[in-house]
Amino acid sequence: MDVRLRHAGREHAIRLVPEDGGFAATVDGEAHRIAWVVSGSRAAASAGTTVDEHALEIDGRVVRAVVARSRDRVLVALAGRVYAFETGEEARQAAAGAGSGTVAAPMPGKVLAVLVAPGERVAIGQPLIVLEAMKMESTLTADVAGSVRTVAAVAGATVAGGDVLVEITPDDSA
Amino acid sequence: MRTVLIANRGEIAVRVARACREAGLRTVAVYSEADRGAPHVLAADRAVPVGPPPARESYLNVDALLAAARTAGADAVHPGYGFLAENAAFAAAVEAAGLVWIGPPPKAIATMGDKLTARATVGRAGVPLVPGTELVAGDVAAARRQVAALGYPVLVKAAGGGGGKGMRTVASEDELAPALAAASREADAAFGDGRVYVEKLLRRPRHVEVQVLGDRHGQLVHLGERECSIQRRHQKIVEETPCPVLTARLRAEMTAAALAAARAVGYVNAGTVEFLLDADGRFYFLEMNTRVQVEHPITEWVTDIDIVAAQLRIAAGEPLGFGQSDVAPRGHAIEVRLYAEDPARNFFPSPGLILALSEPAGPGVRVDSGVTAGTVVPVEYDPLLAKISAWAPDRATAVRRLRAALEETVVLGPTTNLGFLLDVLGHPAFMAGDTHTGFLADHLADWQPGGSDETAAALAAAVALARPAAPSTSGGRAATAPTPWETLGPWRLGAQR
Repeated sequence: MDVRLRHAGREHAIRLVPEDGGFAATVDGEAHRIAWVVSGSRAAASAGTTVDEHALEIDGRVVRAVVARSRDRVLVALAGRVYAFETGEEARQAAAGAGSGTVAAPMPGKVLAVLVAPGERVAIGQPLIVLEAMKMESTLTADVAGSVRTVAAVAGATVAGGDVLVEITPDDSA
Repeated sequence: MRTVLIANRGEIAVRVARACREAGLRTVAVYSEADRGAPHVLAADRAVPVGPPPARESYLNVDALLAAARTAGADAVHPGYGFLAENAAFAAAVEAAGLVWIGPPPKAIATMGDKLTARATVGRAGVPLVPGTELVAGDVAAARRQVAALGYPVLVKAAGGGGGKGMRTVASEDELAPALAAASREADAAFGDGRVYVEKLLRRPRHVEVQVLGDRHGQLVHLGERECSIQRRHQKIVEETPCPVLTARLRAEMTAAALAAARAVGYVNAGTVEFLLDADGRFYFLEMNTRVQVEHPITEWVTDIDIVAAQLRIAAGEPLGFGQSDVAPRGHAIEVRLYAEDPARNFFPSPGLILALSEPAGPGVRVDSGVTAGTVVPVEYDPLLAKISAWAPDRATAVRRLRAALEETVVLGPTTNLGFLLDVLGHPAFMAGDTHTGFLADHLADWQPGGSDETAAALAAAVALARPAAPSTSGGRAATAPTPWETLGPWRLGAQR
């Protein structure tokens, strides 16, 4: 079985071949030996997500991982860290879209202030929107240099997570 | 006192419910529409709804809380921390309704709650203060003159309350006006009081605080200090006791100052006097928190004194039952706050559904949790999930023990600061006890998630993908309903090999 996973912008190619109760594995061409796997499912709290727990012996080391799978994402909790892998086409596009000039509300909240207007030039890191969420003020900043194309946010408005608030036309494409 | 209404939510409401149950008291939980079925509701004997999700309409709704107390036949109110815990008007309303207020006298709350009055009051009692000044509302020109006289950098703070709300660092004059405006707005939203003042920003101070307990019979003791320098957004995320650098002499001076500050307002019940300690060993009064503190467990670890149980006894009019010479701290304790927030994105809150949760266990490990798998971390409240603390005979062992506990911990769903906390505890400067309020900015400003186990994690992910998905993928299980399996225990092993 071949699996491609993207983590923090890097793509990993993984191959698993069943062997002696475990797997002969390669990760990006490097060989690893999974001697055994003990798996159990944990009831998922959400439709569309499967949560399993896996104990594996990898190259002689025992690791315990809790894995949550949804359509295009795999979250792996291992030794106090969470590794978020992307598997789907959508995630690939989202990754490519980072720094594209589309500034969305990271979570539901209230718009306190709108600091830019359409047509205005902005630099990377320039404050665009002040958002209040979970009782804290946060400033959303430009992720590219360019000119503001649209401003959908209005001070005082409540926004949902993912709502696009500002769109910037990046300099290189202007 | 027979039935205690707990006017709070999350881990502290669970903590208070446990103490009440041990003391033979019945408990009443309150909950907003966002918290139906939440762990703090399940921890109580009875639960009363108090309104819609926004805190102003539920956990900050005095009329609804008092009505809930009447409905459920409560004769006492424990406010926890946050929400109305330091609201003198609420404390007075509770007492006016004929209920026992499990906290300090309303007048002490009011005096310490107004940070400017507090400075004046404890200053008169001989407690050293951070140089600072009140600002005239709306007069930016006057503010510029006042702050220039004090000298940059300064910290803008809310007169109406603490907890990092309405607080801004100002390095130079051009930052002053926007900082005053933002701080005032945030303070008004959090405390209904937009007044702000400035304090000179001390260079890399430590935040060291002293726990005090006083009864109604004139007994007032301290339970030693807590070092809480590791902060993000002016809120603590790691606390420990004892403070690694406090000498016996400095400890004696600071605890004496803390008792003097408490005495200056006729303090009764549990409270915390916060100080800044500079690199030269000078300390300054910061504020007094007139309630149980988030980080109280580490003091309980080293003193073996249950602070919440003491709060209940004191409120019932009983004597404290011990004196200063009976307080003998032992060993070292460290606590971390597990938050649903993203340290790589300026600690932005990350609410949402908890898909999987495993808490650590073992000797010397304590978890104060307010969540379970299947519960949703609401957007409306502080995103604290749990506090994890560890005790050991010495600091190095306590650090190792806590790190091991964090490595056992699993939270999937919301992004959390768990990996970040591991990196704080593992940092050489932390191991060396070299902590100050600029620690995170100095050492972990560009922190990114990840770790040394990426290959193992990728293999675990591939192994998981090689298995068929559980039926719940196609099934329509309700998004928020916890199932029996999630509450039964952390492991359920199948036998696929």
